[in-house]
Amino acid sequence: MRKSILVLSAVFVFILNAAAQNRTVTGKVTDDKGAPVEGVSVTSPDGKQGTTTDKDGKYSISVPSNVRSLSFSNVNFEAQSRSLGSQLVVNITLRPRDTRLEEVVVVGYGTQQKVKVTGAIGKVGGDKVANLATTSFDKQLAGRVSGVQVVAGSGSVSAAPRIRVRGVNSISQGRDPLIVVDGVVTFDGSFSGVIPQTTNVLADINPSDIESFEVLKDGAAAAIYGSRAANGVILITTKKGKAGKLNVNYDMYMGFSNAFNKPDLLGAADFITISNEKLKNANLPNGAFADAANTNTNWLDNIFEQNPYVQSHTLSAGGGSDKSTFYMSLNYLSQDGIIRTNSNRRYNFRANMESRPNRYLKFGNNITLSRTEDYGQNDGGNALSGAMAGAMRALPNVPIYSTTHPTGYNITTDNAALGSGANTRLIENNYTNIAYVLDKNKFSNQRTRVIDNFFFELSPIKEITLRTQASVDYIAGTDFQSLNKIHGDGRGVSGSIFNQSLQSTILTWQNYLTFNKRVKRHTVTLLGGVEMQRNNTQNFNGQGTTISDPFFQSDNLISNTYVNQFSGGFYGKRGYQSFFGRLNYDFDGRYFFQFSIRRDGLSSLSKGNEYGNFFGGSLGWRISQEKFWNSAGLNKFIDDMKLRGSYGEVGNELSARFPYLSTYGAAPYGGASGLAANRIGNPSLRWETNKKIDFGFDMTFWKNRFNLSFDYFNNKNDDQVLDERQPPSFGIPGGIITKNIGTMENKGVEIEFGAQIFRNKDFNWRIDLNYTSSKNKVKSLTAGQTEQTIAGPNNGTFNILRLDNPINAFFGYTYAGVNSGNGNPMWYKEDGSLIQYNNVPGAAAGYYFAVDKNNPALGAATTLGNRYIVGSPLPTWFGGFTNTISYKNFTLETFFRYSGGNYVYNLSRQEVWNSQGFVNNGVEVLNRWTTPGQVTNVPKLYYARDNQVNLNGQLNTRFLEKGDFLRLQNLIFSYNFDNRRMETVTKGIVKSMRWYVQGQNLFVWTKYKGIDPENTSELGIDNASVPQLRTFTFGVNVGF
Amino acid sequence: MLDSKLRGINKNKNEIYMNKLLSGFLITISLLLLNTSCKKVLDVGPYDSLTDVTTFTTPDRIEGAVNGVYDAAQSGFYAGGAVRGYPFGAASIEQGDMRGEDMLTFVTFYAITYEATYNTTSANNDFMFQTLYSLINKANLTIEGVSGAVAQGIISSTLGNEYIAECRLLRAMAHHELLIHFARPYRDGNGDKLGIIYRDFGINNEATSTLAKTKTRTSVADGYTKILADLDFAETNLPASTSAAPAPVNVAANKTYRATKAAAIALKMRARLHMGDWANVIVEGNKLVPATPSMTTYPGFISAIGGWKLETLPVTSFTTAGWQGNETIFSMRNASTDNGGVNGALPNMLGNTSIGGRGIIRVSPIVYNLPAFLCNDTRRNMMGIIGSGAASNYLTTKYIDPTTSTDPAPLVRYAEVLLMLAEAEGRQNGITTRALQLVNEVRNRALPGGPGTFTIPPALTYTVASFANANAFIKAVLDERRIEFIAEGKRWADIHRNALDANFSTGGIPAKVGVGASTFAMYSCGAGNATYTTSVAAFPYNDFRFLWPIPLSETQVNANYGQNPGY
Repeated sequence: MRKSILVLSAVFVFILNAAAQNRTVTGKVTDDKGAPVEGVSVTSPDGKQGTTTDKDGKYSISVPSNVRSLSFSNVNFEAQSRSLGSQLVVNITLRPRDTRLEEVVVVGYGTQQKVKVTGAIGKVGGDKVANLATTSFDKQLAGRVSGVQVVAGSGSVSAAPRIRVRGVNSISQGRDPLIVVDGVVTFDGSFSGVIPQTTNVLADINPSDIESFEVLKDGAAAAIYGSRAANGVILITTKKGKAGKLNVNYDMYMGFSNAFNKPDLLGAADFITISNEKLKNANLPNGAFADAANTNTNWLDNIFEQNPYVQSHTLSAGGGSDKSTFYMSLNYLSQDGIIRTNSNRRYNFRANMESRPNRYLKFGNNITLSRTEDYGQNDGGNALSGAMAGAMRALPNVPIYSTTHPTGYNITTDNAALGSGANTRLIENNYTNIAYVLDKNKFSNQRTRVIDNFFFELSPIKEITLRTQASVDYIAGTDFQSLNKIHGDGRGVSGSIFNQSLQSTILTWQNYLTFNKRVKRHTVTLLGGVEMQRNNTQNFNGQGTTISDPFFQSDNLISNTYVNQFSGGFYGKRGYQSFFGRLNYDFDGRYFFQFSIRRDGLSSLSKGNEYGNFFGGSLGWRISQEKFWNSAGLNKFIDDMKLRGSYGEVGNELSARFPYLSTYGAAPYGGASGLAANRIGNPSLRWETNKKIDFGFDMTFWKNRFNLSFDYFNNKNDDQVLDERQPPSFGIPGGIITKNIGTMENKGVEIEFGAQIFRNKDFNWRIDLNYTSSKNKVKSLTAGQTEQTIAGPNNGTFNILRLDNPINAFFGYTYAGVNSGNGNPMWYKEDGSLIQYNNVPGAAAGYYFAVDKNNPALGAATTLGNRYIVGSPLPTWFGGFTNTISYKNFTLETFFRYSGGNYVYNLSRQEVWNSQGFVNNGVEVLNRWTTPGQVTNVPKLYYARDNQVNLNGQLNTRFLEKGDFLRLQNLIFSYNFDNRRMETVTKGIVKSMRWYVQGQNLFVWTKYKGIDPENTSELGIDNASVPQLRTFTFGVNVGF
Repeated sequence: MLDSKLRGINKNKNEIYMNKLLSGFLITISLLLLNTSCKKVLDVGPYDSLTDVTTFTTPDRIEGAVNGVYDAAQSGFYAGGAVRGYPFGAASIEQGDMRGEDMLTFVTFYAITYEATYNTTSANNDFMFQTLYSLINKANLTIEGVSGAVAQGIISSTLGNEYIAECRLLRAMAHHELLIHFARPYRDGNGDKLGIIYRDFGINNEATSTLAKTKTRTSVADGYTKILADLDFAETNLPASTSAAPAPVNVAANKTYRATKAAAIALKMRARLHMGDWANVIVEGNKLVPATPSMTTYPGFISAIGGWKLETLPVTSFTTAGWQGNETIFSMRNASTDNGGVNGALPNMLGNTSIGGRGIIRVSPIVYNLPAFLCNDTRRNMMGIIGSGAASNYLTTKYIDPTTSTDPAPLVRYAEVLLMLAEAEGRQNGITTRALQLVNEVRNRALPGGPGTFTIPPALTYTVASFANANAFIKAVLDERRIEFIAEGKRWADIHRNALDANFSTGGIPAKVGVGASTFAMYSCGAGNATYTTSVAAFPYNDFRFLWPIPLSETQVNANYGQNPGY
């Protein structure tokens, strides 16, 4: 068909040439969806005639008869020319330009065309997170970019997630990527002394102010950040006004959440049965009894907010002339957590302006003011007044409230523990009435943040730009913690109030020069500059204990209302002095070369040792631009193909401020001030070196409908800072001398794939998929050592560093099930033999014996034996999957996330749900062994024998579970009002409107028995974690 | 046309001029900006600590460093950085009692020590080992720092020697504590058994660490020789009273909290007692105890060095504010801001729940029911009842401030000096008048009728007739120690040193009342017959558990610290 048209056209051209007269051609230009396109220039080949299409995509042009074709062009579409036959109506469909390859990417101290990028850089548009109900954008980056893993270990709305770029890249030092906002290194992590794990300063940034995120993943891309780039760099670019039109937007969403999953605990009746059985098996009298009212309390219902509410409102405006642009926004966010005392509030204001009075000068300022309030509670995994820890253990057969106690709560008469009701035993370990504790205790952090960024740019000739930029990032906050004097954590000290003032500042001054020149087919970009940064942290606190009355415990220390006074404080500085440079060279858009270097001086290293050089180089070959590509016909299938390779050496600065110094710190002797050695320094200590290799390609194929990127990476982390353990008998402070000794490797592949499966006027279907596999291996430790313990729970006995294994591998015993003969738990020894711990009261109680499976007889006495590696807490594969379908004005977007290959240690299951103490349990305990011959996985209960029945204090495979999951992270259903109709109907007042409903964290497919496979510490341990939120929101975006 | 050309030229000229101007401006600015690479930004030091170079440079800082050594003795570290009063701020007392039978752990808190189920990784023995050596190294580093400061003339050699004497006293005390937990007693083969590694130089860098790695365990006798050498130096160089010490932070507060000559002598008596060197116990004791007491006033014995003497009432030394009494020769200072905390401090672990303590360590019926412990002994008033009804127990009331945990840890009291001397006198010379006077000085103040005087003693005072033979007298002195020092952690040291004594051995670790098994019915006085049951079995002296294991954390990285047999 197409061929015949061409032949026919040729014939017509011939005829028209012969005729040679003027005529008018009209037509309509539409896009591939069939929508009319305005502003397409329609020109004759010699450019003498031209016009543009109108609002309806229509044009009319008069051309001489010798004009045999027309060209159609527009910035957003691929240019086309059409031969003119005899017809006077030429309708044309333009294919959108593949803007993806023309995209600009932020690369640190500048931008680069994406097509020329030779490093591994992931990009996420700010629109992906702008409308998600979240306190901070970083929580929503999970699954969006290959190679970037984001885990929110807690469901607390204030908590900061862990972000890891291409694996865990340090054994002992920082693992978080460097966060750079608008070109300046900024704070991340927590900013509170009272709720240390539950504040996140990245929540000070309004997600809807963000234009884009770029993640510098490989060494070449990150090298420009030198000594702080080992964990990758996340560059955040905020929105700026655009010249020409004024945009005013109002974005709002509101909704509610619930607990994504709750632990399944025993009710009162089962609790009574189980508790008495524990006691009976230990030859103790019954202790649990139902009270007269048959009380059955669900403590989780008390500590959980039923439908925590979330709302966010953002009003923004941007615009400007060709000389000046501006953008400003105002945001209010309020999100309540699932634990009823947890919430986050944010008030945020942002404004920026840029001005270019003439072609030599440009300057601008960008300011963010924010106020964030976090409210929390004691979340300690084993804490007596920890919210989850307490609620899961609380006795279900006692009431929350009691009229006989002066407080009105069910508390023992000495105020030490949860009241026992009809039980004859006290709750184990004096766990408290958590309802009282949550009602009375307070944990809060309120902070005010100012980020300001001023720049001045000079461009004396067009090839050179000189920029100077001064920035401040300042956070001032207050912590408040009040522990009620009557019951809970404050009882022991008769009430406690703690107030803390915290303040941190980063001052940065950058000066750099960019030179850009194109000569024929050679393009060179040179960048060189200096940067210095100073970082101050200070805090002071006051505490009062023995409070005269709980009335004075509400919001702040009140003078003279407490007896004992304590105070403390800290002051510390850090400095950075850096020189950096980058050369980009590109030949003909085919061959690309980039080399970056940075020289960093750090105040945390010893004099004479403080400077180091970091560099990265990369090469790219856009093979699809070669002549042979087209001549071989490859272009018909593959539109664009670029091969990339890079190598870089970057550093990971040390967390300690002065790790090289041998110091004497405060060592008061019974309050009399003193000084004592507190660290033996190592003057030759340096940053950790990270050598990153990356090979990959980017391609688009099948008329740009598909895109595929692939990367292989290998990060070799050398000079890992490890503590060389010194014999305790040396008496060295901390027992360590810190040295650059270890090596660790992360390698893997990343794949990103996108497909525009279907696209027409009404219907559009797109899929995006990313996949990362990553393997970690410890390659060397202290000379002569094959393993090293680490700091962690139970003195680090759950995890270990061992050569040729992943970092922090799980280290423990293998469970062999229950001896069906006598109900004893059995374990495998390293040699494969079976042992059991005898819980049966009598002479042989409390020792390990060899065992024949299912034989109640005890074999020879033995010991538990050695532990071995039973798994790894690090996921080895993870990624995300987005499916977007739109029909007319409706769009349905689903986003899945997946991860796996790791194990999670379910400590709650070991220590709470299967506890042998007088506390509530999980439903698993109902399967306990009771009669000879019974086959089950839950051993016979035995009061107080946790260390033996569950092997508490040690990791064992009974509670080690696979962490694989697939999560339906977001589902968004939106309706876009027709812009033109909207403008007509509202007489131009409302330009656009979008309504949407959204569900976040809707479902997880997993075999994990705990609350959530992602509720883990970095060591892979799930200990009484706060459930994640499942959130439903309704939102509107209106443009004026 | 021309005009426009001219304009063009002018425009070009202007542009060139503009470019020149900007270039000049640019060069100036570039130079200025490059100057921003000032070194100052890197010239940063810590604000929260001095360095090993700057610490020993002023007299005040040196005084601080000496305090730092005491701090290492008072509040060493525990797992996870917590402070639990290791080694001498509370833990040595708690562990010393928990290894013996006279105090009991009512809950499992101290069960590992109590039931002797410790191993190479159990925390209590591990952290005693670690914090004792940490104290030793800080003492050694300070000795070296002080010597350097004396050489540079920063402080006088008199003051320098006094500081060094304090460090050596603490070093000796720490090594002695190691010997009684990790080595066999001296009296087993006159010290020929495997001792400990005695550290006498500071370890603070690669070189000293390498040197330290070559050291191995020496004999028990070698340990005692070095302890005595340290204490001899301390005796020579310490002042009789710290009030004479130059520039202490607070003279009054330091009276018993810093080592004095009397403390050095008392510790030497202890070392000699462990060695069974009765004659030298007497030689040392006579320095602190006058040959003839006052017969007509109480106390009869007043030390010529430091003026130490007994209080008239046993309870006084525990209730006098800050314990600045006459009897406590040496104690570890605790403060509301700096103490063993709720998981370690003496008032918290031993104190009654009615005053905010935890009542974990209680008085065992074993000592309560001791026949020598008379029913009307007023020291029974220093015990209280915890709990109610059949489940209630006795506990000590010596420690009184669980709210802010300020009770000091008693290390040497004058009563101990008297009883050590009485024991040595009895062992060396039999039931002499002096031996009787010494034990009565301590015992009489707790008897009905008060202490009286040697001329008019209370009715129940000991006389020669009270004892069938010298051994009965020595037994009485040893029992007197158990009664007088209830909850002061001295029991294990006595079990240890007498383990092979023909007459007074417990045969090893004695049997104990079960954890949580003590009931009120088990306590009785006067009857003389035990009414309690001991469900925690005894371990004979030859059992490996008589010694604590060398921690795994040590043996893993130091092959030269040999493990005790059996572990």
